[in-house]
Amino acid sequence: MKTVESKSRGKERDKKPRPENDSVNSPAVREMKKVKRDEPPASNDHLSPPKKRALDGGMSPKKQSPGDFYHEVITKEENEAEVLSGGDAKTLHQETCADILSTLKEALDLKLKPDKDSKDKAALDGCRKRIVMGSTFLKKLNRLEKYHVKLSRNQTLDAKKQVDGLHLQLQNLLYELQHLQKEVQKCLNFRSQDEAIDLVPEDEFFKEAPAELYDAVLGMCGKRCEGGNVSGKRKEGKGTKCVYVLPQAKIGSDAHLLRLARLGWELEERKRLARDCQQVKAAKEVQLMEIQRKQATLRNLEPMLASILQACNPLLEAFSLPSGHIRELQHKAYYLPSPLYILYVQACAYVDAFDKKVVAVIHGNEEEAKTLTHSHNQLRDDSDSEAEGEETRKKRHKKRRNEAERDEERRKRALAHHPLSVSLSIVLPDGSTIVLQFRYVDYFNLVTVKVTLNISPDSAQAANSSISGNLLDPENILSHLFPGDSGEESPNPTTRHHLKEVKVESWAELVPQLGIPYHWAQKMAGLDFLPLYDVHRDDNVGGGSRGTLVKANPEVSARCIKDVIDAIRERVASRVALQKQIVQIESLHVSVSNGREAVYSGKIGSKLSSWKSISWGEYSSASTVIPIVREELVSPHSRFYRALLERGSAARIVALIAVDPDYPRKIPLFSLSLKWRGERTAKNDENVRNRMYSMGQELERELNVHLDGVGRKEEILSLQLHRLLLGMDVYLESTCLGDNPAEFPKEKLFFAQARGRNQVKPLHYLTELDVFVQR
Amino acid sequence: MTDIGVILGATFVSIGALITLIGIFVCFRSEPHYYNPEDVDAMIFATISDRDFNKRHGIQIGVKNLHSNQNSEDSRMEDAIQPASTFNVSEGPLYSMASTERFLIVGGINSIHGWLWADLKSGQTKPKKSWSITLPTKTESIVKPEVNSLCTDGNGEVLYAGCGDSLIYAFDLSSGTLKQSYAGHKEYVHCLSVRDTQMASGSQDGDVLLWDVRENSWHNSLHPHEKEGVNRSNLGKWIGCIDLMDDWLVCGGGPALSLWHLRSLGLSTVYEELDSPVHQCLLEGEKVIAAGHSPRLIHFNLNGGIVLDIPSSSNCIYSIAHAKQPREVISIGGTSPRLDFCSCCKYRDYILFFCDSS
Repeated sequence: MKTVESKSRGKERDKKPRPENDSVNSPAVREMKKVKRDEPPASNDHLSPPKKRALDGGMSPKKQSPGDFYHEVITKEENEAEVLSGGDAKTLHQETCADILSTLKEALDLKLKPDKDSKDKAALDGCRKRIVMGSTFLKKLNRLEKYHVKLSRNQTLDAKKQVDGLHLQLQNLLYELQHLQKEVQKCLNFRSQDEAIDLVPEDEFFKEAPAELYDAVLGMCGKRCEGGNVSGKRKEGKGTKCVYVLPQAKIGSDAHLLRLARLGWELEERKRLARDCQQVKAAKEVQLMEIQRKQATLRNLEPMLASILQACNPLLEAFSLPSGHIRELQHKAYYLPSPLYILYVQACAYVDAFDKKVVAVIHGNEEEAKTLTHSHNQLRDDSDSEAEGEETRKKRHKKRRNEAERDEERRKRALAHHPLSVSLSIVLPDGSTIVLQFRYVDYFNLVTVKVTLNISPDSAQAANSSISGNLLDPENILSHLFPGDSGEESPNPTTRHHLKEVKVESWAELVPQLGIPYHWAQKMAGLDFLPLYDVHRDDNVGGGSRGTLVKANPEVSARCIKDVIDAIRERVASRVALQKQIVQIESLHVSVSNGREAVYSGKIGSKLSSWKSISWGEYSSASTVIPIVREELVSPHSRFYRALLERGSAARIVALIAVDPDYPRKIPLFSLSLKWRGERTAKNDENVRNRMYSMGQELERELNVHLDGVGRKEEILSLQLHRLLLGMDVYLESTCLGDNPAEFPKEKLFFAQARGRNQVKPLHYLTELDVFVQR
Repeated sequence: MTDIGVILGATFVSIGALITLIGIFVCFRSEPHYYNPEDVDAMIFATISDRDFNKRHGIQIGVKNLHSNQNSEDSRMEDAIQPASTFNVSEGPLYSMASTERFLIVGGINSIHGWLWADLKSGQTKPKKSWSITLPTKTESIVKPEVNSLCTDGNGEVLYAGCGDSLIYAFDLSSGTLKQSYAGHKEYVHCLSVRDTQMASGSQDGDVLLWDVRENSWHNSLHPHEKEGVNRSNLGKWIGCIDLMDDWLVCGGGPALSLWHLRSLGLSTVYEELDSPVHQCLLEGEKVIAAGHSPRLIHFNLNGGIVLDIPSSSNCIYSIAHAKQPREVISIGGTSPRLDFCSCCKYRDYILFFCDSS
């Protein structure tokens, strides 16, 4: 029992904030137990009222002042509760319970004892007391716990309030921050209008701007430029300009001020320039007036001059001055449309300067031209108003017919060329002449050409006997004179729309009526159109300004006229030569002027057995030319021929030849296919073709690549054919070498039968040594 | 696409003499060990071409990344590439090409030229020639012998050249001196193949000679044109291509493409499918890759069956190259200006050509 008590005492001591001395302990505990006894009425209202009262009654003698004591006890218990932790309270509770239990057991034992002496009774009493004490202590623990709970609830509430407050504050601050950021962004994004103004460059500004400007600017933002310092200096130096060097430096370092100053200067400058502009305009007005006045004077002068001219005509005739014919031409020239005029003048200049073999003449009716120039503009307006008048009067079907008529009329007028035309006759060295008749079509703003060729008797024979397509056809002898200039399309880009208006599909329909609008003809007449396609502009003709203004310009004409005439001469000469060659070839006879280098003089076994002119369609459908067509090495405007070469009866070469319009500057392109041996033996048709094709390629290269620049240009086609025959011989002979008996015995001199992994045959002919070698 | 700054060698194609107009004649060797691991995807190929009418014989080098482009959306199959450099080599046509780790070697007429790969990759438009060997021809003839075939030994120290004077020369690449010459053919040598000390050569005379590179006379010979079934008299008896591997040898030309066992010198298989002249063949483990005078590249197995048949842009193929590392690429060149590439060896996935630099 003692142990239990000491234990409970120890517990009492534990729950106290400050441990007290053990000796002093017992009274304190006792007092405390009293306190405990008092507690139930204070905090535990649920206790039954009689018991409460009994307790109260028990306590009352000791009470000094009920209120004070009550408060004291409460305060004390509160303090205790604050100190006592939850864990401690639990262990205390358990221990007390165990204590009560053991005491109960003891009491039971005592009660069951049969013979109870006084000692036992006292012990039983003690037991009772202890049980009551224990239960009271439990009550107290309960009270303390209640208080503890309340206390911690309050604490939690306080903390919560604090957290809420802080959170609110945080949110406010965040919102504020966001707002401020928005404001900052707004400020950053602000674009002042002055940024768009194109300002005078800074260096110039510093050089030119007057000092007063700085003054003004500084005055304007005097507050900004840290006040007294600058303004003081300004005051000191008022009147002398050198002082303003300082402000300038100041401004220079302050970007804002500088900007302001520059803006100010810009304003000044612009005002000044506007004033200048107005002045200049006024001056211009005055000049215009002056010009008008002078023009009026000149106009009055004209009839006077005309009458004088007429007056002196009889005199000129009387003296029979040489001017008669030329003057007449010149007179006509005045009525030429401006492009033809330029053409005529430049052609005359060219004739005088270089070449007496070119003659320039003006044809056509002068009177017509005269009337045309006067009434040209009126006519167009009249026809429109007239048509409107008619429309209202006539019936529907009539109207339709009328419209058709009107269209026809319009079309006629549009397609009419100027009544005057210029003819250039160019005489060639062999006596042939080519006549170019230039006409001007106002509606299209184009110069067209009609070509007539008078071939000299010795060349004419050759030209006429040709079976396959005439190379000297006036319609295309001059086409592709310069790259891309086929004459099929109008060089004036607006022509397409004009054609649509008069319901003509393409210029080709108009050629018989109007002639061919070659690009070079426009150039000769001073009309410089932009090329329709991005062709390499020929340096001879091109190089002109690429301006969009298409007005006749004598410069353009002067620059190109000589080149064009030279090119025409060259073209006609080479065409005549080509024609002669082709006529010769058509008679299956290949001859190159004897004694010329690069010609083999020995016996040639292969023979040309057929020569035919073919169309582009036939040419391009042949399998051998697929790569050539794909790489666009051949223009469809070329002339195409198919030649068949044979040696013996077994070996054949089919050659497809493309002769470019620019022959002989571009040499004819040969593509070959060889038929020999392979055909008899190989199973697969396609394979043979392939193989033979590749073998032919060696020969092709020899003809197309290596022959360029050998021998005389004019005879290149014949030379190529000659070499093709030779190559065929060498090819067959070298391939047969070693066969026994050889199908084609070796007649040419060569060292190696083949060379290299592709077994190149000795196709290169060395003239000095008269041998064939590989390249 | 052709970033010169990162050009590093991979496979390269070389192109020999030229055909008409714009044709290109290609031959090709691949050196798998030559790849630089950092730039494996860049591919240099050099072409020797005679452009149009300019009568030039030169090399064009272009770089194209064949692998990365494959994935991009606009992967066009046919593509023009700008040559990184173009330079003239000699007057005459060029016939052969080879490569070592250091040099690009080109054989022309009577001479062999070498360039340092380092120079070529540095992006100069006109790289300097590193060295040049003139063939030790004895006779003063108008017709100079051409170098038809170039081969290097595994270490890149010895260069073998099969030449137009029917001889095979071995040059020491470090000193440029003639090490040995091998006489035995009666006509000019078409092709060479060297594996270790074994060398095989094919010639216009139709013989295949087998050599030990340490001795200057041949020890065995094959005569495909005398064999029934191999001979194709209408196409001639010349041997245009040859390749060696272990105990097997494949050769073709005028006679049909055929596989021979070297120990027994017996004919093993005749590949009759390729019915045109054969210009190039490769023996690669279990398969034979061959092409010739027809626009297709055929993979055979060793028994004569066709494994693959790939069309080509050239009507006549003169060169096939097969690179295995780091990725497999087969390139095909011939009489067309276009080069074909099969980057996975199954089908043709690129056609490249040089745009005109002028």
